[in-house]
Amino acid sequence: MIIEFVLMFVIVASTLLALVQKDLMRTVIIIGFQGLGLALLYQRLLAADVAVTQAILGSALLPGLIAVTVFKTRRSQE
Amino acid sequence: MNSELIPLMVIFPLISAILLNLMHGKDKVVRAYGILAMLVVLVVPIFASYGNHLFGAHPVVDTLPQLKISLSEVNLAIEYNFAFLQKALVFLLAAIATFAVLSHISNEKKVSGVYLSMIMLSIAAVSAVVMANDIFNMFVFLEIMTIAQAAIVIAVGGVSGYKAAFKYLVFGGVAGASILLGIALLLGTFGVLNISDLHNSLSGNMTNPIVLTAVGLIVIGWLFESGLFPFHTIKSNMYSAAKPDIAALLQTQTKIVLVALAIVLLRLFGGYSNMTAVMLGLSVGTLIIGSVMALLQTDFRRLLAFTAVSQAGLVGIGIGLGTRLGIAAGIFHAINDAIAMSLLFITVYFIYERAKTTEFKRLGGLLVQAPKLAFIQIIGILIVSGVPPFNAYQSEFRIIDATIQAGHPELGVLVILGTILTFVALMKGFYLTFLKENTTKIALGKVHIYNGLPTVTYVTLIILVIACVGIGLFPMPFYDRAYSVALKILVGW
Amino acid sequence: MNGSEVQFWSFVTAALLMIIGIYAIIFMDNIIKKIIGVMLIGDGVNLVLITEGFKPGGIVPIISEKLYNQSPGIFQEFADQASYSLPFALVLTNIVIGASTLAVLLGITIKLYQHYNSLSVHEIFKEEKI
Repeated sequence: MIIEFVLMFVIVASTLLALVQKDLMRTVIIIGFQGLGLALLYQRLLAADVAVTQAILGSALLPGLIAVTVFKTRRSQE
Repeated sequence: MNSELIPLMVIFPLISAILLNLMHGKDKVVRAYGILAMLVVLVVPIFASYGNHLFGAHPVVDTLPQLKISLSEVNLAIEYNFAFLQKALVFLLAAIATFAVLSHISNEKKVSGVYLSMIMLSIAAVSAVVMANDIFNMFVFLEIMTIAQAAIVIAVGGVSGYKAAFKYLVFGGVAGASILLGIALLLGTFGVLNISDLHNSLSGNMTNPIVLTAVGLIVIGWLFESGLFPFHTIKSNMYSAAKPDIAALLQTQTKIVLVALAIVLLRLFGGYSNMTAVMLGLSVGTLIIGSVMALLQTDFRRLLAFTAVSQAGLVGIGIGLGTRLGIAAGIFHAINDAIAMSLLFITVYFIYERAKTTEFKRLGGLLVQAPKLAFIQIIGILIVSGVPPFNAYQSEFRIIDATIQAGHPELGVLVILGTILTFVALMKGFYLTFLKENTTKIALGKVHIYNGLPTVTYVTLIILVIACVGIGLFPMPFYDRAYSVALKILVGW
Repeated sequence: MNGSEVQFWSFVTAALLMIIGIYAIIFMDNIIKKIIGVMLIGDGVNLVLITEGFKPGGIVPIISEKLYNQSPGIFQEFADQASYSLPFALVLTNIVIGASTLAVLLGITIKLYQHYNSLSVHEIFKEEKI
């Protein structure tokens, strides 16, 4: 049971941490942890099929898309 | 009962969207397929017979006691309803979309397959929203519609298009999440998604706080999707950033979605008088703010955008009254106004195509150059302002009548005030475009540049005027059907 | 700490995600952080749906045909214990919709950056009239 609470803490903490970063590349990497945490939490909440989708999209694909955007624009927040 | 053509109205545009996307680049193929697909989209709603279509092949199962819902039967399939109202709305959508597709095909040297594919996607999404009797299916297609509309505006709008689409998508994401959260609360409470079943389960649970929260969340989504008060600038930005032919399509879709979602809201939560009061109040606000904002604009497209928004408020007033007469008049006005505003947008589309601008300070004196266009536009202005022989008069008169019958004559006064403001704003636009002397140094071209309307535009304008006059002279077939829908909403589906 | 407590705190996490997302959309100046805010609201709603389907002490709602053929009686046991899987299907749809919205928003961001050479919302929407 303790795993769920650790995962919830990781999700909220990484979300907050991602939004306060000045370097957008760090934001992208930390938001990937949030996606991964959500995927694991879904797994713990008995939604295995959703967890697989969320693991691919939330921790790799969407951060990848945001990373491409950051590369094409500017890396630091003005 | 299972009509084979009902799912085709959603599936065919979806398949066409995929095919057109693949065809992008092959100019002749895209042209041919685009025209063919629009023909099919136009014809299918005419020939489809009324009835229900069930996706999933589970007609009905017996009571599920473990779900604890007070039902004799539960629908497991996704259900699509098709009756006169759906037929009228889907056909109207197909007709306006046909014009948008044909004007793109006939005016552009290079036809974009992706652009046509996005128009097809929005047709499929709006048709599904109109027909679906399943609240989650409705949400999915609303989101698809949001993305497709944003993509159409991006495709032609330039930087202002990007900005409008960005705002639209951000707010659309929030509004969609709001609707889904409402659906999640309803699903968690009652365990069903079918709207008829939800209606049955809700009837005994009117004071449940979770249901009240769900009502609030879904009403927020409705306000966004129909461009009412807090979100009116987002919709009007979209209309004015798009090319005017696309704006005609977008405002038609907005009014159709307004009616479809409002019917669902009234069917599910018609017992909450607070909800209809909120709908009514925000609609009145939209009508007044929209028409006042329209007066202040310096660009014809923005003027029409705010007029379209304020007319959506007028539809909302009728529906928000919550009485039989009000709902019937609101639905009737949605159809009439979508036609009339499309007429105005298409006249402005013509000016935009030739002059490449719709700013008042660069227009003027077009009466000499385009007398036919001026004549059609003044007819359009009279229609939108509710002048007797035309269709919008029939519905605006009925909305005012409904406000008096419902015991709110002051609302009737506000409706008249809003209509007068709209008329003044539109006449201002007409004066500055056609009558005022052209003082700009930039020559708009030779005199003959406005002569010879393109055949497609001309035919469309004539068809729309005939439709307006026809419905205006014989309103009863449409109004009676709208009235029976209103009866069904209030008495039971 | 039992299962229903997990459910409660999971709802709290979802609410926090939505609140952080709304905060990001309203108050963050950087356009990419606003987009992340939209994503967070979607994640929050997804978590609400998943938690609704969660059954404390239940099992994953997947049954193999082989297992069913071995002993058909197992199906009753399965139906008693499995979590409610309809919300999971809704979440799958919503994840895909959210991903496509995000992709379009990021594409617009690149275009806006090319025009304004800035990611600041104040900079981009500066000359906006109402």
